[in-house]
Amino acid sequence: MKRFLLSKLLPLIGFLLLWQISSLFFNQLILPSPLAVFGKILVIMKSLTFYSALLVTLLRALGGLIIALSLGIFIGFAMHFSKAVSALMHPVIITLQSLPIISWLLLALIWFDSSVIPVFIVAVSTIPIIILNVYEGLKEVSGEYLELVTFYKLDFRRCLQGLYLPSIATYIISAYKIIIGLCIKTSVMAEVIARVKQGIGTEMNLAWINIDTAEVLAYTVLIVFFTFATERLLTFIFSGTLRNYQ
Amino acid sequence: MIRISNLTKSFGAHTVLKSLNLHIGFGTTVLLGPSGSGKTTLLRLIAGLDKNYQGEIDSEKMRMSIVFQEDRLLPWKTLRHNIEFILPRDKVNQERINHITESLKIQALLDSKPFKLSGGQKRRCAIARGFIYPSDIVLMDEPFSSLDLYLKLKIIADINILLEKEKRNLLLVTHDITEALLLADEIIIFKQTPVTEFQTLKLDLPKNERMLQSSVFTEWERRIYEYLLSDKES
Ligand SMILES: Nc1ncnc2c1ncn2[C@@H]1O[C@H](COP(=O)(O)OP(=O)(O)OP(=O)(O)O)[C@@H](O)[C@H]1O
Ligand SMILES: [Mg+2]
Repeated sequence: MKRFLLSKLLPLIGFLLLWQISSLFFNQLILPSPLAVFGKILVIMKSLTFYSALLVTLLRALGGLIIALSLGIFIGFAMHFSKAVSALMHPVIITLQSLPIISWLLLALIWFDSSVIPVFIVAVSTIPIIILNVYEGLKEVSGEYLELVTFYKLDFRRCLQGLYLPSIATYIISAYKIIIGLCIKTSVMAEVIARVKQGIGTEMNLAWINIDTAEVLAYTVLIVFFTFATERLLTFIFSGTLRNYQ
Repeated sequence: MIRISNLTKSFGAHTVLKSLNLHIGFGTTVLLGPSGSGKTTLLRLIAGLDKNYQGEIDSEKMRMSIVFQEDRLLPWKTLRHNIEFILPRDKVNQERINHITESLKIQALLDSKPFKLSGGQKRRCAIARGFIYPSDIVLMDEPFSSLDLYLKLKIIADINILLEKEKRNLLLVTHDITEALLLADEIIIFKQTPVTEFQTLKLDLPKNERMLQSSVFTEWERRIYEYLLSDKES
């Protein structure tokens, strides 16, 4: 508890103090005080619109993640088992990783209806991470275990369940915190730019148009908080599975 | 039962087995030899894990199971699931798993994961896995190396009972003379590398621990040392 106070709470209080003092020197529109932002957070959290917007944003992030996972696992497997696919996909992944998300966004604005754009953006930005983790995970399956498989002529299904999936799981699980944060952030960003009809991004955009800086910051704090909460919730739900693969 | 003719195996320029002719009969055969003499290499060839060799290995389509020199237990599976993992779907027999793990004294650990176990406990699980698999011959590569003497004697006794009861064959690789004498019907001794010649000893000893104190045992031990230490080669 003492450690927690020292390592987490004190820096936070220091930061808030610094913020409070700085805000005294600026206009409320440029830098609102932490108290003003806190007030906004309370107001936002009392409204039902916020929760439906949050749900929509999280669902979009989830949708993109599911697409990325299914495609990424499939491609990762194909790359592992076929040299040709691996040779073909490596440059594609590198390109995917280095392409600025804004390019995807601009293209998506041309290609898609606004409400699916965040799903698409989440999918394209997480898919390289998933593919690489699956690919590395499969590479890590030790030759010693594969010898068991060839010796006892185990079928592919058993090999998948007993060897490949657990090995991938350890890799994806070790990256899941980064992945979840990324999904939620990109989902909100795409919502803002695509001007979707509903979502946290929509609310943020509205606050920005109204030049309500306190509200923009309030949503920022809420996103950080709910990303953290989602992470914790998932850790809790999957803790059994997590332990299984460690 | 397993017929090896004119077998040559090299790793690059390093020849380990050279024009080897060997017949492994029914019962328990022990491959004895110093470290690096090519025992594991031969076992892997017989197991079909290495197909890169010259000559012929005919194992008459016998069903084999294997206990590797390493445990090879999947870290994310319990011991029970590790055992079931290699079994054909219709051959998963909990009674048999319970029986064999009980005689190896790991039954109580069946639902634990490998990381919670000692080296010897994992070893015993690997041994159990090899025996639970319905094979005609069990191949084992230095399976007792991490076990203490008492446990080793106990497990060897249990293995002898099991082999007798189920009429199964065993091909065991070791460099421990006591182990060899307690288990073998026949001992094949490698000495020089590359292996071309070897000594075959047919044994007819009572397979129990009391034999260790008898003069027959010391006599056999003496003969093995005599062969290993003779400088006839070169
Ligand atoms: N994969 C390999 N590549 C190159 N050389 C190898 C390989 N496997 C074995 N050897 C060589 O073959 C020789 C025999 O090795 P092997 O593992 O069969 O010995 P062993 O009799 O089982 O020894 P130990 O009792 O130490 O297990 C050694 O000189 C080793 O260096
Ligand atoms: Mg060896």
